[in-house]
Amino acid sequence: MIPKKKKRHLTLLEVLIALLIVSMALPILISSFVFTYSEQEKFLDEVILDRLANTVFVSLFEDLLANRISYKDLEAERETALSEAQMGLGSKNFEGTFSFKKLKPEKPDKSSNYFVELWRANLNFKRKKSEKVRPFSFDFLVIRDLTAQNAPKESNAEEEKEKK
Amino acid sequence: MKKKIRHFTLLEILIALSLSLIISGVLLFYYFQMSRVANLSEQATVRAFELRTLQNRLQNITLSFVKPNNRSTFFFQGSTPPGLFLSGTNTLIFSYDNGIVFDEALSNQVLGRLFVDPEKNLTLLTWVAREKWEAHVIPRFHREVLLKNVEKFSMQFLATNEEDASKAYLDLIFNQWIDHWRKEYQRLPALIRYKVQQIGQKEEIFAFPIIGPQTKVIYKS
Repeated sequence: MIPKKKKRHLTLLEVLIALLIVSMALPILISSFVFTYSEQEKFLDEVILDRLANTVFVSLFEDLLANRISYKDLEAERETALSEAQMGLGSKNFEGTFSFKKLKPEKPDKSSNYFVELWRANLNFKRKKSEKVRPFSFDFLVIRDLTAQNAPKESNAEEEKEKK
Repeated sequence: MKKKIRHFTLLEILIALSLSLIISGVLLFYYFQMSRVANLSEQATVRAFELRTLQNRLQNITLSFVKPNNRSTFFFQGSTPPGLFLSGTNTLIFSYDNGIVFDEALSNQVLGRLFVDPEKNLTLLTWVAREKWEAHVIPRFHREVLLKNVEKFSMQFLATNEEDASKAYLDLIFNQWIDHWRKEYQRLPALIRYKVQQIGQKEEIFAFPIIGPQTKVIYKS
């Protein structure tokens, strides 16, 4: 009688090694999907921020046209956080700051009462809880007309005449 | 003597079955999650592209507006008779610089109209300039669909104080958004907002400054 060959079963060690290999391969498979998704999210952020920056600039420009942002505030050139109202629907995922910078002329002509200046609005946005900042900038003209302010007052001229 | 083969017990089979069920359940859950996220992400990308394209087109048009004189150049909100336009939406008639395009007649200064047609397409219709219209001849035009499935479309304007303006214009409240822009103003606003809402989506706002003497920041102190 030929003795039947005994079947060799898998050992626990072999099963564990197999499991380990599978669990090592899974993250690689998943990571490619996660990478694609995160890249797509970054791209979407770019598209959304581009539109948000435009809307926020128009809102700031509206305040500039109405002189709700004073010339002193412009000159201060300080970075200010954008309010939720200014951010609109973008405030849900993003936060931002704005600042102004005078580009030209660097040194104004002090003998004149009428200035045309080139300014830049700098907007910086970032996703909440993220450090990566996406900057935007918009240029605009400012006219400073100090003719009326610096003109000699008529009443003063009359008083001087009377004194004489 | 033949050796007795040991079969699986019912308990072993049950354990094996429940383990494979758990594993396939987890895998299926992740699969559906991933496909759902991929689906949503694709929808968001398509929508973002649509809105980006619309923004670019509106920006190009807005930056090319030509100051109206009501003879050859125009800028006003027209009426929207039912049948030609989607009811409850606004329309804007304006002259703009179309640049150089393939059709020579539609190059440079042309007449445009933004509106929503009854099929809910936000449309830009471009005609040849008004002074080139010939009597009894339908003027050449180009139709461009900017966005589909639009159920609401309106505009807001912001006017600034200007010298030598018409009486109708000077009666406006300056530096505040208004909903209507009349032909009699004979001026371009300083800022414009387009409000667009697609079916089942939230309202989107596109705002732009309009190039011209009305869009200057003046400080007198």
